[in-house]
Amino acid sequence: MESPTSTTSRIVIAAVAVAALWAGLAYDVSRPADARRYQRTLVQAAESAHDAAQTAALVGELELAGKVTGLFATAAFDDAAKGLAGAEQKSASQGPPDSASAARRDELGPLLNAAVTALGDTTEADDDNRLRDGVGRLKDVAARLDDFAEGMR
Amino acid sequence: MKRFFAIALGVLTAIGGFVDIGDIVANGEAGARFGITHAWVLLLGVFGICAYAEMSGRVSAVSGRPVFDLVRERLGPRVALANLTGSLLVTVLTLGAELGGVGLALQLATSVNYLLWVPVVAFVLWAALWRAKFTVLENVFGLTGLVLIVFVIAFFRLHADTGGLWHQATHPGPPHGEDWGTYWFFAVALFASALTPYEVFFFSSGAVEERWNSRDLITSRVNVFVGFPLGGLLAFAIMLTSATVFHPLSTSVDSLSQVALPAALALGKLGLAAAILGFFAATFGAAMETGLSAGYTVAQYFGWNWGKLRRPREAARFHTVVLVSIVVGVAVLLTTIDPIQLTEYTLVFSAVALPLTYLPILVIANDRDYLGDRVNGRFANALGMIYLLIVAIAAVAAIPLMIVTRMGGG
Repeated sequence: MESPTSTTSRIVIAAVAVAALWAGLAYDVSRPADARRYQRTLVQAAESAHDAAQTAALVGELELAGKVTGLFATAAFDDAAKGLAGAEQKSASQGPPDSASAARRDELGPLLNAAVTALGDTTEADDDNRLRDGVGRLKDVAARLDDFAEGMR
Repeated sequence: MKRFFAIALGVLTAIGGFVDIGDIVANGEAGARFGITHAWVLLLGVFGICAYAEMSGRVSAVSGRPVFDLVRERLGPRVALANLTGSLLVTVLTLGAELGGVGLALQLATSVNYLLWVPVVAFVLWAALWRAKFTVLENVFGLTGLVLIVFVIAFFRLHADTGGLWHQATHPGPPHGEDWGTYWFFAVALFASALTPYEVFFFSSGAVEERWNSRDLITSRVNVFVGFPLGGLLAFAIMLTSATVFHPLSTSVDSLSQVALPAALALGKLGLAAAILGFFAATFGAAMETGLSAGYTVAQYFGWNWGKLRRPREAARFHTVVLVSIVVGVAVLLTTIDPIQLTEYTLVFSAVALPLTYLPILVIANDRDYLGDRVNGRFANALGMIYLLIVAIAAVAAIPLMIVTRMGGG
């Protein structure tokens, strides 16, 4: 039979290990970003925005071709809007650690804005011409976001 | 002839019932980001679930008792409690993810936010589990889930670069822009999606609900060895279509609407409708299975009356656990956590809990007191041990990979 002391020490060791792991995680999540880590955040934001814009463009094309219902398109554009909002939140979640990082952030900002505007116009398009125009702009901004992310990898 | 139809129906429901929100999300995401370089993982997972589901079905058919009941008797309450805790946590989280999946499928059909659907879906699920017969529930949703075959048809209509896909399948590893950490993270998630713990508990308890005996071993084996691999084929078709449409565009998939797009691209509105109906049936059917599995495991551990064969009044505690599990699942979703993210977390925790589920099954399947001369043969034991080693590695690697890759974000 195990002594109560050995059971207590095991519980204490397990609790200390969990606390240490938790503290490590807390430190990792809250420490200020260095240039490399900030760059990775910007790449992730650009990739998320690219995915949202590219998907919205595909949905728009399918809507033009009569291959999706209006209700589905609305739901899919909503998902893309959430993706873009997430990308914006990600890029704003940390401050740039140096001037070079700030310059990269300033490059990404207008691309994110362009994606938001193009998606909004595509979602609200009430005729095929405006929808086609929105799809074209979404594809264009998706390509530029891809270039941005590729250039920073 | 009647027996033949019963077996055929069982196979069809096994195919349609194999896919759930975890399979849909994991295969859609993996296909978009990695092409079909994870095809081997899906194959490994399907072989694994076949090996262990066959053991579970055999144990229940021969002994007339579900696996979890025997785990407590054979391995004692402490080991069974560890098994119960791990599998119940994962099962209830999975139930939440499935309810969210049903809500998302309805959102795709109506554009009404999924959160507004969740309480309605939960009520309908509870009413169905309370009132409807087991076989009716299993057959309706299993058979409706078969419409996911639309992804197989869509793949052929998309005129994919089959040479490129073959190259991906035969050259496992991360493509340009991805790293090995995320590759293995997705491998673990895909593996866990095929071997979700609730599947074996549901299969084993379902065998008792359907009053299987030794004569039904053939039904069990045909269900497992034909139905599950064909179900895995549906999951693979989701990976294939996602790899065909999204991978060349370097676009990740993180929503159910994206997973449905290849069906619309290939087959138009009809394909889209079939994909949404398939998502609905697969997730609602899995919500039913996870809800019942939560009730099965708790009731079998404590020795309560359980199952759909008894009137709810005679199995009140079983039905209470089912109801509470549904309420917890809804509560998790109403925190506004994204159901796709919830699914991803569920797959990781599922991977961690896998050894707790599968080790006891292997032990029971070797016990002559329960199975007589129907215990595992050498081949089944060798396969069981190999898979136990694999699930142990997946369990140990899951959390570190989740942290290092930030949930596969890279």
